[in-house]
Amino acid sequence: MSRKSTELLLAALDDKRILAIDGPNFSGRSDLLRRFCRVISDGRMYLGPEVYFALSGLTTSVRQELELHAGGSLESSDCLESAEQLKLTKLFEQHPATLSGGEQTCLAVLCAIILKPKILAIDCALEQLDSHKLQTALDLLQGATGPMGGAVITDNRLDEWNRAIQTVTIADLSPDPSRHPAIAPLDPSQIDRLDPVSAPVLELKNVTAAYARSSEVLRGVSLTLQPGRVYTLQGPNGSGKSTLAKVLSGVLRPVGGQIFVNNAASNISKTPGRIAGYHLQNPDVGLFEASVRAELGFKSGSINASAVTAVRDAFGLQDFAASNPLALPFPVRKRVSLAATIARLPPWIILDEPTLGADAATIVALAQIIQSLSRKQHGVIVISHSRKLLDILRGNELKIENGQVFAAN
Amino acid sequence: MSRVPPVARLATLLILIVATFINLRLQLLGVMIAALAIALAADNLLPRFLKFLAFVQLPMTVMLVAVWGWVAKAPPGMPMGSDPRGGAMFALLIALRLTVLGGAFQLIMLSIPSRLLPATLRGWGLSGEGLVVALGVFAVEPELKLRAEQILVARRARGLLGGSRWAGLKQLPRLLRPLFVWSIRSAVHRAEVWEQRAMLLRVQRLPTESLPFSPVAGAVSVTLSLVWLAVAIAFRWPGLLGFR
Repeated sequence: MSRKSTELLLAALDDKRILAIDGPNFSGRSDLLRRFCRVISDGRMYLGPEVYFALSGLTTSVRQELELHAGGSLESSDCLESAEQLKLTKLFEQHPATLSGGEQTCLAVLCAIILKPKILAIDCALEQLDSHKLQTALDLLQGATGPMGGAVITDNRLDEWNRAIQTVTIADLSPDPSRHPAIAPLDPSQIDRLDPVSAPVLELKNVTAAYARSSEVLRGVSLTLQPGRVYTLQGPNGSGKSTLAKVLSGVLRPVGGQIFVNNAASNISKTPGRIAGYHLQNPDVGLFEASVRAELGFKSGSINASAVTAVRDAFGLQDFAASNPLALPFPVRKRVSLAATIARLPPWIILDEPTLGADAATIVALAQIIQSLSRKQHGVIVISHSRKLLDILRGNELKIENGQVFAAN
Repeated sequence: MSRVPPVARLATLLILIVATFINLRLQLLGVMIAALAIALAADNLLPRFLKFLAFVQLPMTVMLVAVWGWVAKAPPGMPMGSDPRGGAMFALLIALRLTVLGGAFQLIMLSIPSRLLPATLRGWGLSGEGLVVALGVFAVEPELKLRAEQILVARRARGLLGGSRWAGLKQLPRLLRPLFVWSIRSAVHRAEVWEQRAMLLRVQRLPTESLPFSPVAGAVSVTLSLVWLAVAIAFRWPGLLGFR
């Protein structure tokens, strides 16, 4: 980034509490913010989409993490109210790594705010928040609790925000195009090359789920899911969306109730991921291999190579076959992780926040991929806070609240 | 143990270590292990101690007894094959001492509540980078465990792994690479975060006042460890404390 870009960004931020930078993926937004924040002496702080790395790694509870940042006990600091607003107080004794993606984001944002940096740069991190927590976080950034000189934010949901924010386009900041080469867009038409599947009907009857030493996250959930349809699952952060995905994919064994596959009681936790493949919200957890080719399964003997190729091309990953997945930018890592789940062609596909870090054009293409998969008779469940994606999909809406799931329409 | 002040906690540990090395009697070490087990149970640490016994101490004891009682057939300093029973007894003594030390370490270190950990470490004289490293040591085990679980969840979610514990165990080698890579990435990212947030200074400022340390708990802890030391001395050098 040239000096000019820095100066342009500083000039654009002048006297504004929050400034948003608008622009598509790979336009240089992240690069600009990262480099802008490397001037540590100026009190600039960066918070990227990998919020889990923004936590100190030195603490074993949420309370301790906040105290570490506050430099004193929570009771004697003024951040207790902010923690309450972000619904973190009930999580005080939990290990930060056990929180859901949205809860981790709340914690990371609050920790950053507590430090009162001169400028806080938030790079797509707020996309993991539900609408209520997003408003709360913006209120904190806007108010006296926020950074001293203001916050610079990149976010792919800017048009969904319920408030007017001063915005500058990335092009106005003269980013260096050589630092962010163009990356192929998604190509939904490639999904048409896949053969149709025969997905079963999934049915949950009175299913209860909990994690070790914690209270029930799902309470008596009963649900019937028909193949060839798209279901959207919505609910506040920490309401149990990912837990339901884990139960449906067989990753988490329910503590009560039964799961039926085509009307027959089934213990799907014996063969997790086979009936329903589950793409996790955090792409980095699900990337295991040294190359994209291996990650997608090309090295596995039991895969359908033409199907994997079609999925690879649908996600625009042709040029990254030999790349290490974890060395790629966040939006591409998300694509690799999505493609790796879909390439195994599980009859049911559960996608947890598939639009994280994705710009408007990518969201539209992703929606088309999901619809194409449902036309191939895959059942698809999408967990998302992206209004844009949900509006395009117009799927069967499921809402989750207080451990209960109900159909919204 | 959770309310024992830092200095008393450290003193207790040091006294326990000295007393354990003085002790030559297997029966006394057995009594001490039982006493430690009760104390660990009171702090909800017994399952971890039992795991330590099953997965670390038991295999090591078997190996030590095999080496000294069956291969060398003599304790150190004696001609090989001259005293198989003595060799086995020597191996048992070492194994029991290590068990006591392991239990003592678990009791003293793992019973520190996370909220009191920074104050305790600072009470032991740690500061600056040393304090950060010590805090990191305490935080890394639960975090690595959680990451390992997340990787298993992700592999299962993609249908790469069966649901049984045995399937999970078989995947252990496949767990190592992503865990290692995650550790490196985490270190790189966090180095930047720590620098931006002046984490070294922040760790120094963690609260130390109004914490629920109890001088009485400290006195009891030190007294009990001194009793154990006195018993060890009395059996090792009876004349020293007036016993004959």
